[in-house]
Amino acid sequence: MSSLIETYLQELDQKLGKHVEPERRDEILRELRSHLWMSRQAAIQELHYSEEEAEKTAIGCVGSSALLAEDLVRRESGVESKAAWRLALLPMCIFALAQVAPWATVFQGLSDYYWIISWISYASLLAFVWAVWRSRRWLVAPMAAVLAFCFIATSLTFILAPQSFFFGVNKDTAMAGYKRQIEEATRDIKTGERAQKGDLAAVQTTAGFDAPRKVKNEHSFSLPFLPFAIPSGSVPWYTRSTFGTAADAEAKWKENGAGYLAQLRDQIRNDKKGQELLSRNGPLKFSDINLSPMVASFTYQLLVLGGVNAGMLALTNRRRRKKADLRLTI
Amino acid sequence: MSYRTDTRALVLAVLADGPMHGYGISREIKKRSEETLKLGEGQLYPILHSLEEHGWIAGEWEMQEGDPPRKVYSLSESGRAELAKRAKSWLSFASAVAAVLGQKPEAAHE
Repeated sequence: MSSLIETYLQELDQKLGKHVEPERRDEILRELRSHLWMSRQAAIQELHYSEEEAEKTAIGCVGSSALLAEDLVRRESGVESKAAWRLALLPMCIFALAQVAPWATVFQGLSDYYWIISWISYASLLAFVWAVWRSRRWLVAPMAAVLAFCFIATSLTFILAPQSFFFGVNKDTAMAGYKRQIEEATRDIKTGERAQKGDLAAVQTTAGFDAPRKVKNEHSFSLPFLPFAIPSGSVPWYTRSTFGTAADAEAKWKENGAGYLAQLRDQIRNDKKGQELLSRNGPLKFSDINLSPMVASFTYQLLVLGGVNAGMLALTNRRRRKKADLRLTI
Repeated sequence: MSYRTDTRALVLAVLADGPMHGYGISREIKKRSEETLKLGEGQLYPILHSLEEHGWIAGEWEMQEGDPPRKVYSLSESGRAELAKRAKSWLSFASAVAAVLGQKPEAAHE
């Protein structure tokens, strides 16, 4: 048998290898061998081609081994044999957008910011579901590659240009904001310390006396692909309210004063950290930033995609098995 | 069903005249359509395998002296019924299009 035809069939065999059973593969190759052979003979006898020309013509009529393998694999196994990144191209693009969008200034100014960010995330998941359904393949790897790339890009941006993470404000505005907050908190601490010692005149207003009240600060967090926020409990928080009588105010300062002042000192510490971060000219160090939320988000998204992929493959394989059983019983 | 290229109907129609191998089918389609329809030979085998899976055609290996063995396909009873169904559907579609174009189907062929 001719070497060109055999080389072509070997290429095809390799491409079918992973997806088609050896016995069935052998049958397909035998059938194509006979086809190519007849086509070759016809070209020699009818068109008076040389053997090599005839073989090239025969192979050309059947088409590229890659395309033929794709058709045959889809037919035989229902699985798309293209490279995973090609099958997942659309979800990869939307997924990359979903990763970058929260940091993109073009979205930050919009009133529908959170709505847009959430919907890009849902769209990426839907596109992923569609791609898996169509290809019946594991497509988590290319999605993980996009996620890793975006994770590294975001971390590097954070390290190299921390200013870009202060939403919607420039460096000067952010610095002025910190300065004002620190001044206000320092003033509040001074008056608070006096009030705590019983000098309520320091916190007296026209309406009465200001004193700290303990309230619950509810926390929640949203995750990619989820259409609702998840409550993560509440932490005690102090806020200033006006009390009509000095006795009430004094009691509240005794009860909540220490916690309130500690809260103000924490706030000053954080604001000073922010000021320091913004005033640096060089890049940050890894130890300066907390990457654990990003790592958690990375892991969570991979787990969701892996779970969806596994579930859909299990479902499609079950449907396929049922269909095959039905064919056998008819 | 896609009317643009109902290749399955073409393959069934060719096999209605007698058993044939893949290469013969592709040549026959080209010949009968006077080279208007050139079925990609690579496309043919997934179609043949699908028709075989439906039970509309049956394949049988034929040994040849000196040449590689070839698989010859023949039309089954259910395949014949499927061909009749597809031909009827196709012809009604073709006459509807011809009527809209203001021509008889025969005239459209000329």
